Amino acid sequence: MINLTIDGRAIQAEPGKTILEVARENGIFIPYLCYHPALKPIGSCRICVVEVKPGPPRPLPACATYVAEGQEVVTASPRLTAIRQELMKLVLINHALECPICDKGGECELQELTHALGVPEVDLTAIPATSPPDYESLLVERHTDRCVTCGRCVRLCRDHVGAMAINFMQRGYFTELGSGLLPLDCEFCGSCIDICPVGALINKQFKYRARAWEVTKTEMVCPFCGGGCTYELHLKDGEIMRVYNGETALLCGRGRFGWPVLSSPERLRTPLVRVNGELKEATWEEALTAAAGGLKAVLEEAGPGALYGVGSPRATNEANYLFQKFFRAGLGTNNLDNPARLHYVKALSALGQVFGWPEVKEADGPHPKPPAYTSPFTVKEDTKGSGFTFVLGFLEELPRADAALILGADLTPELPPLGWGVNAARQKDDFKLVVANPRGTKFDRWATVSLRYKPGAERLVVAGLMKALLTAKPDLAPAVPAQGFEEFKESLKKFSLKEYASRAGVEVADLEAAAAILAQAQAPAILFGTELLSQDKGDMNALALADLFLLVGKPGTPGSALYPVADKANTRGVCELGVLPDRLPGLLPLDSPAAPAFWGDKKVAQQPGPTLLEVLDLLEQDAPEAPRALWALGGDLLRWLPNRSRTEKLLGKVKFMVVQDAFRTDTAKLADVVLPVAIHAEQEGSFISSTGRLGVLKAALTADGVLPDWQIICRLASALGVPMSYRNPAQIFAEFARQIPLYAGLAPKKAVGKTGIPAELKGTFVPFDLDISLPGRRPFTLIIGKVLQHSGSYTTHEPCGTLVVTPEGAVSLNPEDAAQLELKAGDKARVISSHGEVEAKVALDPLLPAGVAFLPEHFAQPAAQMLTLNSNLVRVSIQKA
Amino acid sequence: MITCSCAATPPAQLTPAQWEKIDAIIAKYKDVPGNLMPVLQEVQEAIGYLPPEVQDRLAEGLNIPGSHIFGVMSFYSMYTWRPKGKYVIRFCESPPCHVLGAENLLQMAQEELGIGLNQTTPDGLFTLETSACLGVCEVAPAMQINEVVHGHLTRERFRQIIADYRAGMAPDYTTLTCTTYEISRYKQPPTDLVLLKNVGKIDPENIDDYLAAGGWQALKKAVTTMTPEQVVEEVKTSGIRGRGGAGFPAGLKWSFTRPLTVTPKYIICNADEGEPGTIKDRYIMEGDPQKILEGMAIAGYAVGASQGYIYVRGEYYLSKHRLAKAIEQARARGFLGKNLFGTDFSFDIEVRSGFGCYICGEETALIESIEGKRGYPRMKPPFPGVSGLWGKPTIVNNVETLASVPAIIEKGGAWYKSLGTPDTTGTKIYQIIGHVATPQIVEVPAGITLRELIDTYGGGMRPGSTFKFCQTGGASAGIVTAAALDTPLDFGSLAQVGGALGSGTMLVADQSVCVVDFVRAVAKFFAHESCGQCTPCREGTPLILRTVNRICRGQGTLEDLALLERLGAAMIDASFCPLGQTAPAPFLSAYKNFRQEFEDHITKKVCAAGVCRLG
Repeated sequence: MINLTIDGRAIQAEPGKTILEVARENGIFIPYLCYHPALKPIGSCRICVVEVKPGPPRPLPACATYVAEGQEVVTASPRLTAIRQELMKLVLINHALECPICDKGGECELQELTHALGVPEVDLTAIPATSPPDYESLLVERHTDRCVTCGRCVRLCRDHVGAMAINFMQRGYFTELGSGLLPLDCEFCGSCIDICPVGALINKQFKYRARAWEVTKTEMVCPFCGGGCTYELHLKDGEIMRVYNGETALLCGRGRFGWPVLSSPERLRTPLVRVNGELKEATWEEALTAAAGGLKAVLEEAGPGALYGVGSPRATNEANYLFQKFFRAGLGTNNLDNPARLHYVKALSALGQVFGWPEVKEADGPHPKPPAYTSPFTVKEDTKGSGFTFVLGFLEELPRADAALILGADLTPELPPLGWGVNAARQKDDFKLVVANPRGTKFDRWATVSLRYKPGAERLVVAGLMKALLTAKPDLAPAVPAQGFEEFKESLKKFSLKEYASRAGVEVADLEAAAAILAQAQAPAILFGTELLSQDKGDMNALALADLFLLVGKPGTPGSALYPVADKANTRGVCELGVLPDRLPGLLPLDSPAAPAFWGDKKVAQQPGPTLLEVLDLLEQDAPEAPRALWALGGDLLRWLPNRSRTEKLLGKVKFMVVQDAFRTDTAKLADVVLPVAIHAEQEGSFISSTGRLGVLKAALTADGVLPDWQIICRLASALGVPMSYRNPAQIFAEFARQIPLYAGLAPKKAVGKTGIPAELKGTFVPFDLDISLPGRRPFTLIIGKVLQHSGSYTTHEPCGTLVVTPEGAVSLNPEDAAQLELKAGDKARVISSHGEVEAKVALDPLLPAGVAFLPEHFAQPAAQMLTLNSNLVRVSIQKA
Repeated sequence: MITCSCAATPPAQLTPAQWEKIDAIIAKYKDVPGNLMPVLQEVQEAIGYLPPEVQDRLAEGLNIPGSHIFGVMSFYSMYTWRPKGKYVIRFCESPPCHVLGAENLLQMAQEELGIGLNQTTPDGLFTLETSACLGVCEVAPAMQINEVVHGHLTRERFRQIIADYRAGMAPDYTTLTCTTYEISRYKQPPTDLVLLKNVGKIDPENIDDYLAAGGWQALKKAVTTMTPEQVVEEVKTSGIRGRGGAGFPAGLKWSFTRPLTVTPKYIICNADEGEPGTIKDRYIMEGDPQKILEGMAIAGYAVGASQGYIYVRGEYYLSKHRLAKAIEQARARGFLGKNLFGTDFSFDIEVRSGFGCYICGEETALIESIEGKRGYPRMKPPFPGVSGLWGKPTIVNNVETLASVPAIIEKGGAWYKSLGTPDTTGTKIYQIIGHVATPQIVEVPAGITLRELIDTYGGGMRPGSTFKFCQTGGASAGIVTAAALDTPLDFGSLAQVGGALGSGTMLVADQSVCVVDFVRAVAKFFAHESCGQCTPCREGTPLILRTVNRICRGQGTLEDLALLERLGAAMIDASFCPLGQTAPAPFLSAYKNFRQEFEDHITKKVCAAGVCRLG
């Protein structure tokens, strides 16, 4: 600790902190404008200058001057007051003083500062800036004449969002905020709004709807993706006025502008029951009776195994837990799964093979009456953790990685906070980045090495990297004890490095350079997403990366971890809470001696259920064990399962189907009973983010006609003779948390695996399949994946702000390919695979290599899964429509 | 938004050949770190301007955001995104040109060409612009047409030059021996020269001449007979203080970087000679470029760097040309490149160019510029010696400093120290400009007096001129009166009398100069060159200009003077970098020395020099 005095007060401070940070921590007021806790200080507004002894004769900016032993800091003196008042005047002469019409009124830092510094009058004049405001931009209004040139937005956009959509233009007095002469290339995340100290950047959704002081604030987790961001809902008269992040300002467009989905006219507000072949509106009583009746009939006729459950990565931990409990404790089956089967579950299975499934021993507890959403277990000295949870990364630590490999993921669209994390990491001068992707992505801009491989060649790239690593350093040994290394090295001998490179379509030198980066890294992070996991051999892709991490990873070093994307708000939670045919809550195996006793002394069935994909096969084969009834907790199966026409046909075979959803999805249209659910802030509950963070939803809004999933499950289960009754979701959390020592120390905003549990890691190298052939002879390889503005189909409903930016799905083509097909941007094209066909608008994307096309997965039309067989990669022909 | 002004520009119609050129430039620089500035410069040279269509191509080709490209372009005043005439005339407005009548000449040029400022003649031949400083003060008042400087302007001369250009007689700058005058014209001291020894005597484009004059022997000596530490020690012994203006001991600077284990390290030669009145480095670059390369290589050996950059101000076309040639020849002869003199020391140099930006002479802004960014000064600490170019240890030294190094190694630090004064050792190139009979540069042991400089080398005051004041060291320093004429011109002595040695330039003003009008010209320079990063300088420099303007128009009040003092104090105290910290100094020292003249403008509406039109 460092000893210094501030205004004569003796203060102890951590070394490496700035005077401003230390003053803030100690409640000492130092005014500032360009400083923001989430940004690197630049010391440009100069308002925070303080007198420092020993030091130069000039006052120093407190935001950028580090504390030192024996320092004497003066934060207030006549000299400093004179400087600050002068500076404030200089700012004010160039700030459009249009406070009455400025939406920042009441929360303007410039107003606060003028008041706090007691600026008596502005006896200076200046030529006012003349740039007109930009009302044209879609979600963010820009008023450059209000800009105080603090550069917060420029720094945030450049260093954290990584878009650099806005920058300073011109120089000196004429410096202004702008986007250059090219069309605005903005991610429409709106983070610049929340970081702007004045009203230069205005949220169009919020403008003139409420004054800053009128809103009530509720902090909750963002439910739009698996990022697990926390934000404030600002409400007035029970309505959301805006979404706000005062802490880091960072949110993505979905999170910030997606909330109007709540009031979408497409929302289901009443239950629907199929009567004479048609879905008709019904009361909750009628609908639940119909659902229970239909399911009961099937169960009575064909036994408990006839009902199959599909959990939801959108539903809370509490709902998903109750859902699996119904099957396990009520019906005594494991006949359930969740849609993450198509991607994230593949990563879990690969990680389980290489690092073992997670387990925590000797956790202290369960203690009675923990606070809400807090584990009743605590970590004690001899608590020990093992398994893959302890090689998974934490968002907060990603910026500390000194190297990162992003494989097969367009990172920000896959999971925005991971993109921000890598951006934060690259602020370090020595950070090295390897970007490997069949298509160009934003991160190529900062890549030390970019590998542009053939679609689907991920495993060859990874094998090639390991080959290069082991060639350069034959005695390379994994950082953790590992088995099977010799056999594994044998398996890599299948091809030479040159062959790996040529088969993957990359240069040997690039593979070597990338391998060298990973070999030298002290804290390498490996990031990958659903785009690579959604391939039919996605599990093998994950296996390859788990092997690679076993070889080069430095588990235990902050930032060095595997970062698989769990894409939806609770993709990780739905899996960890046991909505899997072979895993219980806490990811325990079915035969675990620690298996939770859900229902008195009833034992968990030892026979794993079929997976979601196996269920389709069973239906296709008309197998006796094929389910007759389906209960889907959300998730539009037709939209997400590959080979849509097959899915449609097979779901038609299910006798009785209950769907809980917020929208009348295509799957809901096939159901016999549709139960409308609460979403977003209409319900309480918890999520586990992609990086393990426990986020809590708050029921800040009244639910109009809809019910939260957990209540529906309770009522339907009870009607089916499996009584369930809970006061609130917190009580459900308390029930399952008692059964999951893995969550020892977990509490809101804390992360699973990051609660201080010491981990004992070991691994097993598992060889992976190297065949990357893609069936068919059609000329284009189509990749189906995510786009920046959308999260599943959630954000594709009017009046979501995200639709303003990306209103529809288009097939993207390399401009030269498009020219050969005589297609221009905006033309209609037919995209034809061996399994189906869609019509889509054409977009041109120079980042796509020749022969590769891209189609977003989010939209009802074009329905991407019409084209697929068993993978998000498919060969297609493209023609002018 | 800027977009408004752009919308008025018709879309650029480039030929396929032009697009090919652009793509070739992109390909050439694709993998060069910090490629944006050289790419923009070469493309502008090839196409004439950088319209949005071209920016788009560069954004895609270099994978740089469009907002960054325009952010950088619009920061440097020599880039243009609108088409211009075949010949761009840049009229120098710097204080040295101003005191010699630049303002009237600019008016004259507009009349002669029949166009206003920033307009192009209907035949598309000439675009008339101003420049904050061209760095050719010895021939003030001056202008530059494309790469070529024309000085000592009068209406007749201007007419003749324009007629020549119209007749197709535009000179090719690469065929000129130098930008202004050959050094042989200047009166030189009897002492041995260190820096200018070869200038004007050898062919700067022929390395053999340099070798015949003993060139590259100092590097050989250093690399083959000395340890890097010994080289650092020798430079320390010499006592040489940085010649860029701040006067930091060069050996000390090197000694901080030498022991760092971080690699790579860089040597940057600061050739962004932008301080008004400063013209010295140009003579070395144009007349003896190999010497700078040798000095850089020695510095590289001393601190453990293997890459050097010379950052030359954009207007110095001939310097860039000579340096590029010199590098080529030095590489061919094995003085630059890998394993020099058979050792494991390797060193190479790249020329980078500024493009109209004074602040890039500040070392950290210069580094940002090489990295391809807006030239915003960085916060110090860390100093570049620890974390500079791309975050790596970087030595930034002025041309004159580095050009002194070969002689220090050859003849020893003690010899060097024996020259000059204890405060400022060695020889120094002084520049004597303004109202003297023969403006020129001269290299003498540091410490001659201002009087000696004026009388012996400036040829005395012009006929009919009497000394009124001298702005010492450059635009950012204070002015001194006749009382300081016998002060030795070294760092310490000048600081004591309220001046500064700075770059060693002495701008002498006679009785025809109105001090208020002079302060206005200096204020205009700083308002133009403030980078805009920090509040006091961004808002303060134009406010000084507006206020002084008011006084010059006879609309000033005594409160204005109080305001300027108050504002000046805040700027000195709170500005981010030396630009803002020193920008009020010229006013403050002028006001201190010529208070009455300021007050007369306000209360009596009298301009004693008859310069200001007091309404």
